[in-house]
Amino acid sequence: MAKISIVQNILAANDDVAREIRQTLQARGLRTINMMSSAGAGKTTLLEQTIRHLNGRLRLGVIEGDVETAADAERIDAAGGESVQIITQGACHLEAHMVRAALTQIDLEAIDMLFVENVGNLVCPAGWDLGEDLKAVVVSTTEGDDKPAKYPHMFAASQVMIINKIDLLPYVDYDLSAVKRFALAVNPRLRIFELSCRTGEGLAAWYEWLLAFAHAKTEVSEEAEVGG
Amino acid sequence: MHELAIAESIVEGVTRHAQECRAQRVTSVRVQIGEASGIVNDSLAFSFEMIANMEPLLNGANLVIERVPHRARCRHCNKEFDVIHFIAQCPTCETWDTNIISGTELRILDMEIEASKD
Repeated sequence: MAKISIVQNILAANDDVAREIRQTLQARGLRTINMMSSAGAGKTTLLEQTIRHLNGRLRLGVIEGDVETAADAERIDAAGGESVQIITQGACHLEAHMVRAALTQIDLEAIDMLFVENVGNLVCPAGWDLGEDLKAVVVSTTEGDDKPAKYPHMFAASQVMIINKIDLLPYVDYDLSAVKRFALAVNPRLRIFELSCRTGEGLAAWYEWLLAFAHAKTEVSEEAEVGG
Repeated sequence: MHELAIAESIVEGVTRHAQECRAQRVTSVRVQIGEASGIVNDSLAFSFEMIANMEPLLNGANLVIERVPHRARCRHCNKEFDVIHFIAQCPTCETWDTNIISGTELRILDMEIEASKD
């Protein structure tokens, strides 16, 4: 019986691919956001709105991750974005090798910035580096205000939090300040946007930030602390 | 929920190393799992057993899990403290200006093998 030392990250294989993706995208000056949320928070709707609004100013590519169907990629295409659909066939999160394969199907010359829309899930996606510059988590006022407290990994791993559906605040029991307090408690550096894709409220600040980010005028905060 | 994927990655990583050193069989694998990684020991042990048993080199291998506490260090007073529920606020000077120093590990440490007879 012999003891052999290994000492390597369990996700080393994923991290290697993520590093390769990061190098590919950085070499082209393409900034990338890994967008995560529970199912139904409004990731795709926010991307549709963003693509339409920034038409002519910022060309967005979207890699769509879903368990089944290409419906979201079709929505992105209809909005005028460049999209590739990854169907995970049951897997609850995207891994770097899936993104690498998807990148070969997207015309990187035709975009100024890339979004990876992860599988709708507040648990697993936080753990896998996809080669992104930052992670953004979307929550919505219809999901309940306990999400940052229940899923702290996601909020600790993200640099941006978007609170969607704020137009519904008068109709739901959602304590906006508690959500922000909890999220900032697990991640004091989190940048927060409050908006409604339905009414357009709050979207201007998001667009402004995104344009600056895409043109590398925004510092990318330090690497995610969880999952790396 | 993603313990299965983590177990797969452990088995893949260990299998590669075991093949490199021409092991006949891996009898035990030791991993470090940080408290803040979101991985549940029992689920990981269950997933590992299932996946290891599909791999001849690792069939029956034992998984030893070392938990690493979630700890942070204050950038002002240098105090090191336990992070409870992901809240990394210094208990002494109450600042949020702190660095996570442990608890996010997902690491394969070592393995015990039966060496090849030749």
